[in-house]
Amino acid sequence: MRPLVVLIGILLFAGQASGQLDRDPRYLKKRAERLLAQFDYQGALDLLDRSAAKLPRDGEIRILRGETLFLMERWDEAAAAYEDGLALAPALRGRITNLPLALVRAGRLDEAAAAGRRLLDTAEDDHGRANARFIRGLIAWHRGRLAEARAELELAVKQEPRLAKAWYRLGLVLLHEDEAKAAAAAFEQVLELDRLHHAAAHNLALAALRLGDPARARAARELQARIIRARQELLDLRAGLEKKPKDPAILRRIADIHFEFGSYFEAAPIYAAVAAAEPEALEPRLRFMRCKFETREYHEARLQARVILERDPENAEARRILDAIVALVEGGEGPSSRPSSRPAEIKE
Amino acid sequence: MPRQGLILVALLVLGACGDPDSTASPAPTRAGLATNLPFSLVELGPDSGLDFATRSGRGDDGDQIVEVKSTGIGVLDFDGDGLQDVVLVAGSSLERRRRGEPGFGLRLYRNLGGLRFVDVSAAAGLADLDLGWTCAAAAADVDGDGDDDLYVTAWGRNSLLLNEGGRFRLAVGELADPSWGTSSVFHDLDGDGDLDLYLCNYLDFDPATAPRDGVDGQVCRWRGLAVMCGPKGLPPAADRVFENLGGGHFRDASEAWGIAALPPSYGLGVVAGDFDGDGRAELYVANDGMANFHLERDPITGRFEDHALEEGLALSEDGAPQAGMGLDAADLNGDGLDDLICTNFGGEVNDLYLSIAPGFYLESSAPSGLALGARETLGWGVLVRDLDLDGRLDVFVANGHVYAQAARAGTGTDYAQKNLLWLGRPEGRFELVGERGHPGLAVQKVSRGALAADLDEDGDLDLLVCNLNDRPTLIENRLDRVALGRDFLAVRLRRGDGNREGIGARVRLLDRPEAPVLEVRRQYSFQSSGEARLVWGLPAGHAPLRAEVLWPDGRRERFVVRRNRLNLLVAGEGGS
Repeated sequence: MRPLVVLIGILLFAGQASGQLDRDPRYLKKRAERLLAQFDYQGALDLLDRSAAKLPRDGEIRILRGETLFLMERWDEAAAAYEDGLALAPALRGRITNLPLALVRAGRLDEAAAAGRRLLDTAEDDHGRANARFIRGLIAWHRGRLAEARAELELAVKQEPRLAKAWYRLGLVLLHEDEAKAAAAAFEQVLELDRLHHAAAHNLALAALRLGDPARARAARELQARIIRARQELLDLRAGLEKKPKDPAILRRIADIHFEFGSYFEAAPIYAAVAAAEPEALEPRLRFMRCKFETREYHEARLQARVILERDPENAEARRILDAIVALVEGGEGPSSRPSSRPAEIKE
Repeated sequence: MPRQGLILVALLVLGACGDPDSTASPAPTRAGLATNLPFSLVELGPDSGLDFATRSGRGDDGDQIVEVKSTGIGVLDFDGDGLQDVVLVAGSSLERRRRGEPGFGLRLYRNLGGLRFVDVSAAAGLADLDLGWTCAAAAADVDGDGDDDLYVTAWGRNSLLLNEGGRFRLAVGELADPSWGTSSVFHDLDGDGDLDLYLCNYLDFDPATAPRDGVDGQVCRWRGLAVMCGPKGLPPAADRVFENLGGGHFRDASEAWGIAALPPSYGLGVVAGDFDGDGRAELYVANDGMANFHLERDPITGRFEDHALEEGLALSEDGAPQAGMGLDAADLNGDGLDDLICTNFGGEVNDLYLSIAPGFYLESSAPSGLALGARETLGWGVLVRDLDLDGRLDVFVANGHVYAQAARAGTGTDYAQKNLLWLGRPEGRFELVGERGHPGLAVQKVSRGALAADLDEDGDLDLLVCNLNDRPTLIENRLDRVALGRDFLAVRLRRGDGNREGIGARVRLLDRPEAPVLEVRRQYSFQSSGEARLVWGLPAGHAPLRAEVLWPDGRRERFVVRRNRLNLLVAGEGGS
């Protein structure tokens, strides 16, 4: 009898603990976010619905519900959920860029324009203002108001030069305004920021054609074809990853594709994961080092080079990187990222 | 006076005498508001004779995907009298299918002139045919015997109906593909002088196993409402291509021509033509929720390869797949190359892909003005024609939702929707035309297919739209050419080979370089089949014009063409 009492006690405690967790908005939010990361939108939505019922005054949960519905392409519901959330947490308005986008997708352009205006008014920093400008430009584009769209988008990229989506839309506007040279520059900027943006490569080819530069158009078309093949391969690899999570060969190929396109920021963490799974293999670490070098995280790159040279003193690439970093530092270009005291932790 | 004109006069006289033996309905009445405007689109009521309500499924709000897509429309001259007759396509119901009963089949309406029609399905041999759950009927003279035959797609086996002196006979089953066929197109795809067939297939559907919202954890929601499931979650079906062997016989060439190598997709619309002007036939295929195909034939291997992605025709301007439904092609920017338009789901725009060089397309719906009004509707049939005869091409789109739940409050849209017309304006812009002055645009139904044809032989193009579980919408184009100072110019082509109507031939007006180059095509839009006549609008004048025909075999021929009449251009009778 006694073990049964203990067991019931444990179950009761666990149930109580679980009930307490279920009332903890941070816990619920984390669980929902985890489901979203696993593309289980419906699971996340079910959880958030339950949470919203239990915590009717929690604006953040409603906003996350909006994000989930947005990912599910349920635009009207997403917009309604965002508005519900913002009514409870008005301080967050400047961060909810997807509300006007949901309204655009729902075809509610007037409301989207009003939401875009409010977003701009409440944006907290340059990045937020750039995003708001981008959205206002997008809405103007959908209304066929190209001059208005151009003005907003030019402000957006001025405030945030790394906003690829604003450069892309600006390129489209310029292409339609027969400013092919400026359009080509905008699409090249997109490709600098997002190497796998096949639509930018496509439109770069169109701009080059308009400029009477068939060789440049051909090169852009070839790049576009490579991007399309790479994107398809990435899709297939990600599907494979669902069947074999963390498979090092699949991860390695994904990282290699990003690396080949110069998407070093995307490739670096994957190489780190592969290197962690195969600690004896030098090649993933070499690639990780190269990514860090290319993204000008010289301190990390130097530390990785040293680790490699400890294991393989003759490694030419590690030596070359190390020499290049020394030259850069001597030339006055210091590390652009905060130095760390040891190589970045490589986690599985 | 041309033959068609004589027939029209004779019919009008008969009508005026009130022939007691005539099966024709009285002169059709105009539904909605009458207008005195020089250009007005006016719906004609059911007393035009087109009174058959095509039905699909339960007849109200289908909750299976097959119930919401199965209606098509076409025109053909089945009796060779020069007037465009009308074929309506209805589906069936799950109950009838379960009981092994025939589907609702086809209805054929003979054009009596004066926009009056009479049901001749029985006399034409169509009433007794069990064609299953039919979706669309594509018309063309496939056996080269001088009359229009019909290819009927279905959820189930498709059927080829050969026209023998005005009666249709079910032909042997080489084209009886068993998948769910939607749109199809007849075109000389291999350049051998006869009409081959490209068939769009949609998906594999079994009502017994089809997913349903709330069953087995399935969630099929739209804007928070439980709706029918699909197409996502159902296996897409592979398209097929058939080579015409002559005499009404075909062979499946899907493997040999590379179509079998395409990924199975939710195919709904197809249009064929020489879009890039290289002299070879191309195909543009609209896929629902998946990347569209642009198929071009490799001259060396003879296989069709898909170039849609790299040419910018597969996806939206943002690089996302859309719910492609209907298609049309026409030279909208006046560069001599065809541009392409694709209708999409609600919340999406109807894509306009402008060619800026052969094989280079720029999505232009927003800057052109075509995006305005489109997001609020769900587009199906589409046609690009000069409806107001002002010399610029216009765009008409038939709309209607797939979910009956769209009629509920708070969805921001509706199940029955108005069709939209954008008139061509200078500098490549389009202007959305309201229903004011055009009562035909006030009609609100669950529309699907759409086509333009000169049904009353008055020179301008009338509109026909098929509607789900409803009679079709017949819209008379009431255009006062004198008041507007406009002429029309119409041509039909004639050849002696297996492509009698010159499908795929391109015609340009040499004296009017700003006029669009038009290509002869019968199938376009969504599950629709039109006429082979080409119509241009011109400023009023007297001088005859010169037209140059680029025949599908690459030969060029020039003809003198006269205004305000239908010109028949016969291959070999023109000049060089």
